Amino acid sequence: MLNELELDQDAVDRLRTLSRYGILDSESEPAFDDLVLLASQICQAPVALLSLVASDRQWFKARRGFAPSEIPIEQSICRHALDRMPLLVVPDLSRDPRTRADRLVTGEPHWRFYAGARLSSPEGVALGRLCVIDTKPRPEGLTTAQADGLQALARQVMAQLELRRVVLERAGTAPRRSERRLRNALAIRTVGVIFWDAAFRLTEANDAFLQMSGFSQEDVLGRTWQELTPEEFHPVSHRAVQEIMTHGEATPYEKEYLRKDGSRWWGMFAPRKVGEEVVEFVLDITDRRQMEAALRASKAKLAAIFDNASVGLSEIDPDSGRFLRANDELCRILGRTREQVLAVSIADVTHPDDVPPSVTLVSRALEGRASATLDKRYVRPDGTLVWANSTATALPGGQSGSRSLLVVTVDLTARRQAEEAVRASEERLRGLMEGIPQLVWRAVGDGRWTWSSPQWSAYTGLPCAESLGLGWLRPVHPDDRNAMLAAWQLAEEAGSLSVEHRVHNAAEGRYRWFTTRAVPLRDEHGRILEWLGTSTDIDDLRQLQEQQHVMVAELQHRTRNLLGVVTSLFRQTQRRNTSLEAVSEQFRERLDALARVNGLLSRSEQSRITIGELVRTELDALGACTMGQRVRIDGPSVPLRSSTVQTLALALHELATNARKYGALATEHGSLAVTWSVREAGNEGPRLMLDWIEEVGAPARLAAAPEKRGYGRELIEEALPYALKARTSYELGNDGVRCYIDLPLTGAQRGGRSTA
Amino acid sequence: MSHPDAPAAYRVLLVEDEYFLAQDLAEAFKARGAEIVGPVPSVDEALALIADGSRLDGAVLDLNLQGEIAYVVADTLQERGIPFVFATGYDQAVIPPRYALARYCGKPLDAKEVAQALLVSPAAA
Repeated sequence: MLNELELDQDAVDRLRTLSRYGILDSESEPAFDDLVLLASQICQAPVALLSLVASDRQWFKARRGFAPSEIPIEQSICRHALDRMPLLVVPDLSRDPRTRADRLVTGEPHWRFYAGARLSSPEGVALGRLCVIDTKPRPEGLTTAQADGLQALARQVMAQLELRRVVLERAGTAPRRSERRLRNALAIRTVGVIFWDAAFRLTEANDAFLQMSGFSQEDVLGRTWQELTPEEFHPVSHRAVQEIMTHGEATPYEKEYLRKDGSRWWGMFAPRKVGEEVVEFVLDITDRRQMEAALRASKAKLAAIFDNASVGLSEIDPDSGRFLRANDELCRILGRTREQVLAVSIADVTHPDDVPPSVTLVSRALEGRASATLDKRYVRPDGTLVWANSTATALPGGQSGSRSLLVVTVDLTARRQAEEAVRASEERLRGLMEGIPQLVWRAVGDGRWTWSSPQWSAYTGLPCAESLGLGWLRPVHPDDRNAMLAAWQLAEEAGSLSVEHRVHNAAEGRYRWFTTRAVPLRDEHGRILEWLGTSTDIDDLRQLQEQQHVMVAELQHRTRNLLGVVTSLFRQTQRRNTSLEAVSEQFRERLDALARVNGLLSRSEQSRITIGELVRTELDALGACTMGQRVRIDGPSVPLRSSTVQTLALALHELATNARKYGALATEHGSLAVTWSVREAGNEGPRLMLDWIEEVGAPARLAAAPEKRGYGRELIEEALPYALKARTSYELGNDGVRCYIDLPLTGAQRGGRSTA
Repeated sequence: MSHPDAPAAYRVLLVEDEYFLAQDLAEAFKARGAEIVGPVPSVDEALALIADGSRLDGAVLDLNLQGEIAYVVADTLQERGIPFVFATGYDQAVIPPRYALARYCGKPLDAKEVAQALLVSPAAA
């Protein structure tokens, strides 16, 4: 109520002044007791009190007619208008609106009258009142003498207090010195010191605290701990308050505190109750806290790395070899749970053969500063072996000086398997390279060989060592070497090599055609590491291809020539006949003859056609075989040049047809003799002499040939001499036809090849 | 066979081993006022005619003469600068590139066409 109107500053001044007198809570003293007695007697009041107003209570230095040494500030009457009036008189407390609700008025001892003289320090700070109280109202108040007397006594109280202060300061040097020592102590820069009043409002703070908290003295005084403490630390502070109230002192505690700007700092607080007040010592531990937090984070990080590393990690006691710590990966490698791993030593999980080197590894790690490493086998509980690489490093010892080892374990199973696979693959490749019929080699960019297969040496007779570099050029045909080197120069840009060339075969003693192909092997950046090449023998293939070319050309030639002959046959037949019927009959017969001789030719690739075959084929086509003794064919077996066969066949066909239509075979009694022999006269070479002799028997039957000059006759008399260098004669006598053909058997005068 | 009143007649050498074809060719050329040299059916005879020194304005050459390939005749004609026509059953692709200027007539021949090819076209070589 009125109390709340009191300015804080007044309260602070009052408390500070009171503390200077050192009066609060002091023992009772006769001088003050006497003054209270006098006041009671002068004013004839049953109660007289020397009342001082502290922050939360009214404390009585001397009292008469009232037992309690202090009452809560709420019950104090002296608090009203404390420093306003030198003398405050309330005739009836029960009627005064300021006091009528007060407990001492409404209840026991039912105070009704109050008169108090103000106690003012020389500086004018009001400290309390010297008051008299009656249980009966006094409408008339005090008499003037009583009022004067009470005020005089009040001045006397102040004089006593001043005297006491001076005496205290002069005679009692101890409190002064202690005060000075305290002030000096409070100047400490590293420890904050704060004072709280009984309501835990801050009444004083040293510079160190102000430095820590960023507050000025004016900002911070009067604040409560709740205002200065972040919400989440209220329970901590509250516990400390409880402890202070119970034990007068609290266990030092740590909490965050708010700075003026709202930021936080860590403090360690050590409070103690001193009289009405609480003093608290504060250390700024923000740095330590941050370091601790950083350390905790670092430890957590390290633990996470340890636990989750993709390599096995363990800490080993070097004396017992036991696992002190192991991460998941190590447990996986060892095929055991963490509990199982932590229960055994390295030797327990190591293959017996690898225990001695493991022991060496540990001692080397302990001796040297560097790590020691070892490929070894671990044994899992199921008996399977695991290859792993272990690296041991001594860890720095702690305060106890005991050292431990960090062991990094890498599972080599996959690597070993991969190495095994590569080895197997290389063996397969080598087997392939040495097994295939191709000559295989490896080379670097410009065609310098780095390896050649055994087949190459077997084929060329050139050992591998002499083939390396450009040595392989030696067995290559001299005419092909430049082409090979030129192909190599283009190979890198083209990304491949493909060239045909000849290689000398040691076994056959001749060059054979090869096709050489090579592809580059590249690294991951596409750079060429080396070339892998094969040389394949294509000599047979090439010969076959050449033969095929020749055969196709010949086939073409023959077909077209044949068509030429057919065309010519037709023209010759046409120009000698007027009747279309005759033309078509003769042409068909001649075409048949041509077909027969070509049939013979196509069947005679191996053995040549003989004159006998030719003669019989033509005569048989006319049915001569059914004529028995009328037809005589006789002569030795004489092979003919194929280039002569066709023309000769056409000539024989004309003779036979004429004989069948108009000559010896046209009558029932005629006969035909075809005989031949081989003769050699002078330097002409062997010649075939053929006689065609018909005997008609009945001359009347001999019909004239329908043609002007027979095609057959021109064939025999002109074409055979022209084309085959034959000598011929053709006579049509009364007895029938007599034809004589003399044909050279060796045709080509220059040894040109014969295309069969 | 010669035409004494036409001294400037085109003299053409016919080399063809097929008698009736040779006759057809000869007729076709004669019909166009040419004078025939030959025909002959073999390499040797052809070479002999070329070598005898008489003038030749052109030639028709079968490539395969009774099994003998007639390049030597073609080479000789080419050396002498005598234009000629290959009259052959072989495909044109078979003919070596050195005879690029020679004409080509594939068999079966049309004698008139051959004559036309040699006579009408501007003298090659």
